[in-house]
Amino acid sequence: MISSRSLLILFAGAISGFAVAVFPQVAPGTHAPQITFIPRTSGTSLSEGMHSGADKAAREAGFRLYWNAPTHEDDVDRQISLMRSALANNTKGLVLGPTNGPALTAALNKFIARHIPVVIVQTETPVPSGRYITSITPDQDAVAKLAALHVFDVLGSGGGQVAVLGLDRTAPETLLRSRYFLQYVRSHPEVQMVAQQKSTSLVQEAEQNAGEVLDSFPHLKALFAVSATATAGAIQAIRRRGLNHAVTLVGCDDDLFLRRDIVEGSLDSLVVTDNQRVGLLAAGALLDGIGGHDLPQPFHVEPRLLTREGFQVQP
Amino acid sequence: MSHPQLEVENARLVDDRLTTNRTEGSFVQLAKDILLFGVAAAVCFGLTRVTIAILHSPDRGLPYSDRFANSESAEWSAYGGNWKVEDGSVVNESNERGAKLVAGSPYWTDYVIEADVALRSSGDAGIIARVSDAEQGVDAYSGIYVGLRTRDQVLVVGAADHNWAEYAARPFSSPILPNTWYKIRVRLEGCKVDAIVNREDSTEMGKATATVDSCPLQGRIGLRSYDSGGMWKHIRVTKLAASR
Repeated sequence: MISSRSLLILFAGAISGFAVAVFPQVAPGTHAPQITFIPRTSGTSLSEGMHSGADKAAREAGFRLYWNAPTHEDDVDRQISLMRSALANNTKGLVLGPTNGPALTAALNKFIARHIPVVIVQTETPVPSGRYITSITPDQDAVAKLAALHVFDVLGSGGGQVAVLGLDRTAPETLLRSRYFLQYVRSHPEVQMVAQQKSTSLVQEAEQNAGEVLDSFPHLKALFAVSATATAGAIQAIRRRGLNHAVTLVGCDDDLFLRRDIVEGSLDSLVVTDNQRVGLLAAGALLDGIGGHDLPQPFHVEPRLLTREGFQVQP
Repeated sequence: MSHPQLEVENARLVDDRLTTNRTEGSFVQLAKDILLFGVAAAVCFGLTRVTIAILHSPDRGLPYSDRFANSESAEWSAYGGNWKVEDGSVVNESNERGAKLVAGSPYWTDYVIEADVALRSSGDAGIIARVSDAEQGVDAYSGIYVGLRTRDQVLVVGAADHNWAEYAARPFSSPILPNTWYKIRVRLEGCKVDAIVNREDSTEMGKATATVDSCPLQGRIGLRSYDSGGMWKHIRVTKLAASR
């Protein structure tokens, strides 16, 4: 007969043996501290450029980069959910490409309240910059200027009708680009701005919107598409109407498959920024903030113009 | 020596002996307890390790196949997409970029995965292997992807680790048609990936071989589509040695 004392010892031994056996399976690993990067969407050339830059900066500083994004550029709920997860996972800092600035202010304020530094990319910061939030974005005035000067060059002294495509209230950079472009057009009386067309982040809708402008203004000479989606939609609309050689299309952002479209001749030129540099700068600023330094003032990255002549870079 | 003194001395000797016996008895009991504890710990440790080894075996659950009989797909986990089982195939009705459906053991290592795949529109659709750390998101998983891509009409082989690295893009001999079944077979041995795509009549349409840097060495299987819904059926995974 086994005594209760022996049973107790057997049980304790069994528990100890079990614990020692399963410990390697359940022991928490040692992880580097984490920073989070949530762009508007991922899996695109624009986002992957930023990803590689940020990843490099994080690794060099001994941090782990958590990278994820909505699968659709307009999925603000998913972006909020990812921001909440980042907070729950004790992220040390956040780089964010806001899908819809006003909808994200509450979530952003939670980071700021906890003194977690935030760097906004892709568009202007939806909350005022300060000690815990800043932005690293393209110089939107320079983007519009490069596009405008190229359009004036293509149209020559004869001028002609131009239109802007892709204004999206949820993407403030599109409004800024359009506004600055209009200012440059006003300084050239031979060029007439005939339309400023709204759009969304869906290529199909962008194509439909571009089509409406093309159909309404048959003498249109040039289009300035202020986002990658608007550019992709305009390419399709122009192609369907056989207007490739009649309308000059200048697009924005090194995204989707727009480089290929330049090579194929369906896109005249593209105003881009160095996305890898943006990622590197954003993560670098964030890491400085995590290290106790003040975040830098909002910083603008200079764009450049890619043209079909072998991607020649123009100043 | 007087009698009283002798009695006292005898009593002391008896006490000493009793104390010694008690101490010896305690040591013996302690030794028995330690032995009992050790045996119980060793047996339980051994049993647990054997159980873990069985559960983590790369052979466990292989060969695996799913013909989606009785419209069941309970063992699959969805990460994005809009999935349903229909007529013996699984369908993603959404064109969400990077939608995934994952099943199988996280401990499978070298294996062959085969499936019939059809795209519902233009985009990508295919299979993923050695999947771990999956989340909703375009490249939000660690694993290897082999698929049909309509944009440039290629058989694409790439690896994701919450990013994307493309290792092969082989043009097909004929265009990829939507709603048409293609048979994909992927063989994974170490970091070498061999992929072949045949038409339904078994004629070869394209193949690709790639060696993936820092490849994931184990993981589950899955179905993935990008910008296109997709349909999958006759999913089969076999241990590499058995499939040779």
